[in-house]
Amino acid sequence: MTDDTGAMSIDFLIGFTIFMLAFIWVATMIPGLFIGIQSHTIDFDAVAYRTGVILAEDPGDVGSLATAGIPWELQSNPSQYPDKIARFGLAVSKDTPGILDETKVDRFFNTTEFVYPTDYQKWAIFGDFPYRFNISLKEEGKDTIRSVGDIIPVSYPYGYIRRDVKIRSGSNTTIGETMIKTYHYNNTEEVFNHRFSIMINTSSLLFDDVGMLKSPTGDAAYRLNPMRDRIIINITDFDKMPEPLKPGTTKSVSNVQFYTRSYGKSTLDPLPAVSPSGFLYMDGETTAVPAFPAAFSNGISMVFEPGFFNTIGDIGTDDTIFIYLTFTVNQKQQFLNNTHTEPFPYDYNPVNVTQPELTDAVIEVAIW
Amino acid sequence: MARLNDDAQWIVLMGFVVSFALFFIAILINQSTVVGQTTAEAVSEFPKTDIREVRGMIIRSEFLSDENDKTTVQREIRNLSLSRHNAVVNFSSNRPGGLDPYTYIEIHYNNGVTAYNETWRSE
Amino acid sequence: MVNDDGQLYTIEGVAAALILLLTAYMVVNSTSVYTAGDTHISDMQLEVVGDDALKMMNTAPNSSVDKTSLQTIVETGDSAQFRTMFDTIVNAKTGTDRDRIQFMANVTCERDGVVSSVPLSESSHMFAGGEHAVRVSEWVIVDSSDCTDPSSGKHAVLVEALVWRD
Repeated sequence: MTDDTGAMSIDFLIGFTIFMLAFIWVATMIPGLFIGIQSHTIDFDAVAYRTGVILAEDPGDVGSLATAGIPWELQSNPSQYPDKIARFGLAVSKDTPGILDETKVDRFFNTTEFVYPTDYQKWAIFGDFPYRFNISLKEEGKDTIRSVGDIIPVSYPYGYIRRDVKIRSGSNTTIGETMIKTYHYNNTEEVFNHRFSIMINTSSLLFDDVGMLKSPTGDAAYRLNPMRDRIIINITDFDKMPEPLKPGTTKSVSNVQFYTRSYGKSTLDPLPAVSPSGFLYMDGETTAVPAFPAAFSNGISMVFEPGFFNTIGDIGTDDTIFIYLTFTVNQKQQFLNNTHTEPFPYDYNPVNVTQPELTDAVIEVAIW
Repeated sequence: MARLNDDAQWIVLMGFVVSFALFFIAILINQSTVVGQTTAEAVSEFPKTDIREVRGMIIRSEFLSDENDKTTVQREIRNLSLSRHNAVVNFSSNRPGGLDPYTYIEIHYNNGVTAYNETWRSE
Repeated sequence: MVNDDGQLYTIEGVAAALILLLTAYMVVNSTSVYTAGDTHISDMQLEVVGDDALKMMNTAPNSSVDKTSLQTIVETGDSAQFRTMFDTIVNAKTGTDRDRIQFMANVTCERDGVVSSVPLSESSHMFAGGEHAVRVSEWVIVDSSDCTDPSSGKHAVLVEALVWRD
């Protein structure tokens, strides 16, 4: 009986060691078992797919506090009033899956305005689980990658989807020598003040045929909406109209006025005066001019940011917008002037306006 | 033979406990696999793009200017959908008439699993 | 002094270890039945990106273009153009690397009342039959093609592509 304890102890040690070895081996196997299956089993791929669909095929939606008639990408100050936005979505319209609006893309990737991750989880990812994610977009022919989110993990898998899309740019026009001569914008009296008018027929842009494309078959992707899209109007070749200006001529924009004409009426209603600091650029400079009159040497640009025409007044979808530019020259002479001809039409004619271009792009969504 | 000694059975009991835990985990893992599988299958099986594409084609075909083209294209839409997408596609249209300025197209799509019906109206 | 319950702990230890290992073996076996490929997630991703690529080829870059690239390719049977374009779009990623999606496309149409297909294009890696491929398709209205009746008039054809990763 005296050495019983010793024999029992060795037996116990051997038995327990065998058990522990097996247990440790199995225990170390379990995390590997989980990780290997995790990304493909938990709903990361499903969430990535859903987010991809929302971004690529949905135009997004506004919430209960939103300003009426304005899409989510033009709602101001959503960080203070989160209920202004219900859902991000980058598509031009619900009829154009895969065609993204440049304005929406710009706003979506504006990470100084929207907070990562909470805002994106609320409006693009959805779900109660605080998913981490990375959404990136690359436009064909551009070097920059736009992205929002964390760095994609390299050590473990994640849910993933890729969408091939197109991004629709805004439209622009450059009124130069050819157009001025074609439309006889130079055939004027010799005076100091000249007026040049531009017409944006909202109802025609919204409801007429777009180039070759007749409504309702596939025109939505190319449609211009002056209330939503960026419009750029450049005017150049001032020194060639119709022949070189008199030596020593100085020229300036002394005013830009906005008018609307309601459907079926012939009278113009003036809109409130707008400071040129919001849209008028001289000679290719990057800062807008602060006030009228604004002198320039060879070219002016008017850049109407998306939503510009919503902010200057109550313009309906049936109204036509007129932009009246007044130029002042210091010597009486002919100049850019269409008082006696027609206003320049901002329309779907590719001769007048460089139409929106769709460029290839790819979106990647990673969720983990 | 001495008396039955059950001093060491707790080790085998632990073995059993851990085994049951493992089985439980295995069931969880299998369940979550099924989540991923059903999601992917739901996405693959629901003919979202098929319906959207054929719907777009039907609307486009309705506005073809040439009557012969329209007849040919619409027949081909039906036949190709049936043979390549295994879907019965049927549609008919009402052109503007009287006071009603709109075109209406009734679209029916059925591939045996998913049925889709729509009355489309021009804007 | 012989103690006949001396090896009891060892035996029970071995038994417990055996049970554990057996369970682990069964668990690994049963869960590995479903692997990533079996859950069809990669199929879904391929289908989405392939569908997108065909749709983008069938979208005109601006409103002045009256035919999309895909329409022109089908009408002229331009195999090389399809290969370049589809490859560029379907394998594009936001990073600098590219995907390795391969494809084989054909045009399906109705000819003399019979549905038939003619090959349109294929990627550099030919389809050998063993690949796990998914099928994507895009409708196109064309004026003429290798596939349809030579008689004039517009026809609806289906561009179908098998896509897979090698």
